[in-house]
Amino acid sequence: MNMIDAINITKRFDNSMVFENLNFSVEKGEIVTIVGSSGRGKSTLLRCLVGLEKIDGGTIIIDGKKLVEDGVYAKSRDQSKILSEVGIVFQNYNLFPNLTVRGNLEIVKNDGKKIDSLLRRFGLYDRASAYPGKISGGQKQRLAIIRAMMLDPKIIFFDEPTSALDEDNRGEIVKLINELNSEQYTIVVVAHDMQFVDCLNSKIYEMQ
Amino acid sequence: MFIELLKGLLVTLELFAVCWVFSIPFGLLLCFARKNSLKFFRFLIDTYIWIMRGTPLLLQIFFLFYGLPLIFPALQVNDRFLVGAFAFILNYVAYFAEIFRGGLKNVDKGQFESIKVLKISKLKAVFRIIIPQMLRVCLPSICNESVALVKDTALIFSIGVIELLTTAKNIVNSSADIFAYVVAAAMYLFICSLVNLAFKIFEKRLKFE
Repeated sequence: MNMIDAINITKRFDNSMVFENLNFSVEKGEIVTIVGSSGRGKSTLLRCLVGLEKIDGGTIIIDGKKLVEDGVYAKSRDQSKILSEVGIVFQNYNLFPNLTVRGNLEIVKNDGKKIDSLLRRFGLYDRASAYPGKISGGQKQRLAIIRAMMLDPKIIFFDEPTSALDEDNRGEIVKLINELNSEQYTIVVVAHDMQFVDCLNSKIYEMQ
Repeated sequence: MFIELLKGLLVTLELFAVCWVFSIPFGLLLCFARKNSLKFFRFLIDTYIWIMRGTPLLLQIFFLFYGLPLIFPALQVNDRFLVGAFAFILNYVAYFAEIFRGGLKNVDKGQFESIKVLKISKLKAVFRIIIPQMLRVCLPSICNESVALVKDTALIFSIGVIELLTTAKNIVNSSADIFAYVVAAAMYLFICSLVNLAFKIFEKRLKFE
């Protein structure tokens, strides 16, 4: 069963075409990597799939539900329901700098037990009261992953997850992605770092 | 003399407090309304801010107290303090709205994207994420404006409200001794320093460290 189906989707900014009639599908529980040189629209595609950008034509189906059909979006309430299946880890993490590590999670869902268990699992329990500005790049990324997991999505998108990480943390993120995938999360990664892509056991789409 | 000056100081502080307490939230409201409203309302808000910032506060006070009742007699209000405070609030709301606009522009676009993707409610997002980040940026400007407000309160003398400076002037006129001016200056300095100190403490707390 496919978790994501993008059928003939088109996106343009003003008069410049980002992609046209693009087809793309992701099966449940698989890891998919979207690669391609910069400016090919990888991140834009990802932003369209999480609802941050609107496509200009085509159909997007997420977990069997139509987010867009032939360029026409579902009703706002339905969109919100459909998009609750997806979580995203941004390239710059986009953590809330005025909230502590715990605060960044509590604001999404105030579930103390879940927060404690995720913080422990991802090695951030001791840093729960620190502000994002005071934790390392790897810790920020882990926090961004936990935050994306707070709403129990079925699909997690990663936008250039290694762009701000050193060698050690790169290895760690590969391990984390594989771990999440083994828990039945469907993973979509946008990357241009081929060394990193080679480490993931993933289906690769290249945007040309 | 001191008791008289203290009475004047009380009026100054009262005006400052009333104006500050109303201008800050309304300035914030105007800033968010401007960002989220239709073009026509944005135009109205921009025009209001343009007029308030482009004309002297003294003129606005005169207009509200002397001018408006001539055009609309039903709007005649005899409480001079009330009309003066209202004019101050109208003026400062415009200035604070502009300060907050600068703060809002400084909040990273990614923050709004996170809020959207994580489905955080608008109210929670505004109060717990956006406003604290805005404040961090615009606190020095709010502090400057607040200090200016302390000193601007003297303008209310123009419609016959006796505040600190007018009290000092009356004392000097009747005693031919400028000491009352020195005391009034010291009082203004003290209040402005307190405002500065309060903002410095608040700024430290907003460092997110």
